[in-house]
Amino acid sequence: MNCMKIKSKYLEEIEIESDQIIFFPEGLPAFEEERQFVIIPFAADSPFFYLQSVRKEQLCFILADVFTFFPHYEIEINNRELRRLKIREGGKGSLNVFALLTIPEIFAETTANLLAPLIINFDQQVGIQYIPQLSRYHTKHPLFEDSILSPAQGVR
Amino acid sequence: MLVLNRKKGQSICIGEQIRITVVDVQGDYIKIGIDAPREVGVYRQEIYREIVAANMQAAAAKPGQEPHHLLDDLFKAQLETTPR
Repeated sequence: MNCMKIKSKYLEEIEIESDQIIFFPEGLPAFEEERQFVIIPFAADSPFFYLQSVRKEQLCFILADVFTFFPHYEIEINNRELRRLKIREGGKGSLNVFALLTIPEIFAETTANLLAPLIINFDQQVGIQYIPQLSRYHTKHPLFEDSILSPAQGVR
Repeated sequence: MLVLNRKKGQSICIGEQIRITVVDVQGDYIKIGIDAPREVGVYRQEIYREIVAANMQAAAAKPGQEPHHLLDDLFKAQLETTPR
């Protein structure tokens, strides 16, 4: 197992193991050339993660665990995608689903892209951004409920 | 752009592995069938563009030095106010 140091957008220099790197065979739309990322949780029990490009310091997304915030979320993954995620037809495997977040100046108004979630197979170190044919979801679902948005909370 | 006329039932081949067939035509709507290898992604353009735009916006977000505590705080506040 190889250890390496990479520069990150929000965490300065971080040390990663080669088995932490997730390969995105097709990159992400708009960032197709970046194929290797690491997923780093904010904290041990946090539902938030950094998706930091291994090669490009300034490319870092913030992710949320989809089912923590949207327990009724549903996604149908076809065989083509399962194959890309290295899960054989009828085979078993464990997949994690994350949403890319857009974080505005007012943090409470953060939105999640449920149209095109990231699907990660950590065992095989491979991931995709799922692009549906049609979907009932869109790219800007509010992450927090209205009660959190009241100015009385005073949180940004 | 190459422009071809096709009738219902006729096809266009792109290379050896991709075939596009006009399945049906009803007024403004054209039903298209696509045969392509599994490795080739086939998407509706407007959906793909929306995802490109959303990704660029997500990557451009420049929250403060340490956004994580603030998001975690909001999450915890939400857990307290809305029992699940």
